[in-house]
Amino acid sequence: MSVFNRLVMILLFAGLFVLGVYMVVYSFDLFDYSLNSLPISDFSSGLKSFITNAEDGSLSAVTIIVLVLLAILGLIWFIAELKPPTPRRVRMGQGTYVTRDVVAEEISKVAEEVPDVLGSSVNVKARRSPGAQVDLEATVRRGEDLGPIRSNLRSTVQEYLSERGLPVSKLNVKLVEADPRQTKTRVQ
Amino acid sequence: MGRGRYVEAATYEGSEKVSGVVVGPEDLEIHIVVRYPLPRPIPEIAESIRERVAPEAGGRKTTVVVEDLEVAEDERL
Repeated sequence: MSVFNRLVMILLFAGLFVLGVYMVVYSFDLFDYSLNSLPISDFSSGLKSFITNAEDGSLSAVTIIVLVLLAILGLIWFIAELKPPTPRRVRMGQGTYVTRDVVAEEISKVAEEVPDVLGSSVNVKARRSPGAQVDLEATVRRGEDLGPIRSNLRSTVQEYLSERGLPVSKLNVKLVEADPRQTKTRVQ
Repeated sequence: MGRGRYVEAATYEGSEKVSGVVVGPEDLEIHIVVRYPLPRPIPEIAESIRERVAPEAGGRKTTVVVEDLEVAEDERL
């Protein structure tokens, strides 16, 4: 269960608990609260007219839109619940894993050794299959020829990782031009 | 041995705590830190540990997790 779904379930159960407490209080006339004081008849007549309108097909456009949005939200939630969670660690082989931090640190280290790269930012996603999906963003000086830098960076990172056996199934390299005065390293 | 991000990789038995190993009823996790220079590629190191430990794991599913890579200190310094 994802964190979002867990939060929704916690809120739902908290709401049900509060409703249950109210129901007990009102049912047993505790603390001068009584079921007779609740506007149940108004609510039931409103619900009845809503159902009648729905059966007759005479709901307002706003109501139909809200119902359709609720149905879409429920469907999205259901699919999100069925989808298996993304693994936390990068799979190397059968029963062997490496943490995402290790992969990110190694890639960052080698990327910043590449000439013309002034800084880097690495995002590693683990997958169910062996190998990680890596999004590498490298900062370069403005006005540089980006093509050769990108290919050099890609080949250097891939070579370094394959030497160490760190599995990367997809490597996305993005170069960002920046002012050297605002980057981690000014000169390479 | 690695200890996990929040020092969660440990097993408590009686008054003793063993860091780096998580023993469950059906699985066993071994958290390691690999030190440079690497004698072999990392997957091979992890696999050799898994092969060595698995027969002693009592049928538990054995997993090896590489938690960190660190540079060995130069003893001459």
